[in-house]
Amino acid sequence: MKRSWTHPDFRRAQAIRRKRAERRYKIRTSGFGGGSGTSGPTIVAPPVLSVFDEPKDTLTFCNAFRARLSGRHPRVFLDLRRVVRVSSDALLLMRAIMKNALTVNVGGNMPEKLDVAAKLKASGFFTGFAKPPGQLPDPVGMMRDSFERLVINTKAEAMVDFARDHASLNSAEASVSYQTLMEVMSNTHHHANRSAEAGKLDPDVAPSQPARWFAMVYCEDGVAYFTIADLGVGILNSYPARRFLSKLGIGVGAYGSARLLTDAFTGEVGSSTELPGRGRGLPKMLNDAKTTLPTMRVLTSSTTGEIASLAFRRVPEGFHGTIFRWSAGGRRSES
Amino acid sequence: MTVQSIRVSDFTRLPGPRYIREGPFSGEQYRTQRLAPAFEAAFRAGQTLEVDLDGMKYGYPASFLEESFGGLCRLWTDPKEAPKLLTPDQVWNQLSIKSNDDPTLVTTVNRYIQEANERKTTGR
Repeated sequence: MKRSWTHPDFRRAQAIRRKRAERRYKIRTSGFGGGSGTSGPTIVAPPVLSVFDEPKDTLTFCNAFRARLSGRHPRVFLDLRRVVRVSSDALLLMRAIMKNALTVNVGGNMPEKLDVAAKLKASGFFTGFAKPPGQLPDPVGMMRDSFERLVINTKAEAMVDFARDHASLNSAEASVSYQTLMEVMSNTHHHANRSAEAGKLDPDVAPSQPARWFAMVYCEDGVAYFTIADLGVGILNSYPARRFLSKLGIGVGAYGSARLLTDAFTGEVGSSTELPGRGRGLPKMLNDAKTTLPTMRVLTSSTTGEIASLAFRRVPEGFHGTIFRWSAGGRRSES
Repeated sequence: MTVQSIRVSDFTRLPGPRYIREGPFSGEQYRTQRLAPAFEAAFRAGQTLEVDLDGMKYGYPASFLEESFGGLCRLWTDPKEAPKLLTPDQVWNQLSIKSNDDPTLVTTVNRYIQEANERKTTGR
């Protein structure tokens, strides 16, 4: 039977997901009264918003936000007052959730910590619906973001050029960053869309509506932090992974998500499509992580870890999508 | 043997994705518009085709390079498509890859050509 976004089964599943996320996060159902004029449930952000440093709290918050925006009347108020640290990967994820929503009615307040508020403001996340708390300092770092459905070389170039202008990348880091951005955009185009999730899509057939990728580069203290994400099905639910598992006659639970992700980066999963020449992107990223970008990490289908060491683990909170992140120009942590 | 020569930098300095449908300056576009016609012309003239990979701003995404050279090999080793059926070794010997910026690309291109038709039948 043909399924679509408007199918009753899909709507029912979407409503169940939303209720689960709300229960987990104890969304208040009254308006927050922050003066934004947006009534609706309030989602309170945790003190640290960082996809890779605090995945559980950050993903719980982002999932609740995403679930609320996927509803029919997506009104939500984000209470960010307690936030004392927000990393650029979390900023990108929040912006991606907003961009991906069909309709958006979001209110919110700024973090009380002024440098964090300045960073949020600089990201453009709150443009148009929140007042900064008093005079904000200049943001510590500089950022540039981008999103698209196609694989656009000039967009990847602009991100890397920006990083070179505002951080100390060497030429190898710049080249590998460009190549990684291009490969992830391409993987998103091929594998991240919903019809791939349904298992109907041959990987050599163009998706009618490819998933959108979102990328950000944040430069601070000579270091560039790259993040590229999509809100699609994730590597472990992609067509090649499903085909790989079906050949083995085993489910992802029994096989192990960390093991399956390892197989994706070593080339076993990509080659299972039996399409000659395909499946080289992730193995090249593994090689590049070992030689040039050792900080490269991934979060996909609720599994995360450092790519160079293939040390993956499950995170307690579910996540639909894929996020890659790496730094270039040094190994300091983002503020 | 005399040599014909083409430069990828005449096509782009920012190589794109694998397929034309994915975005601009793809490997498929480069192969169909530049590499394959030059290869065929060189082959018919009994000459080697030198491909100069230098001059890229940020190097090559793997899928661009594989689709260009692996795709070229798949074309010339396919009995239905090839103007004259060649083996991967013959395709490689017909080419001369120049890459001073990143010498490892010569090995990479050779591997893509040799493995162009490989397909694994099981996951492991």
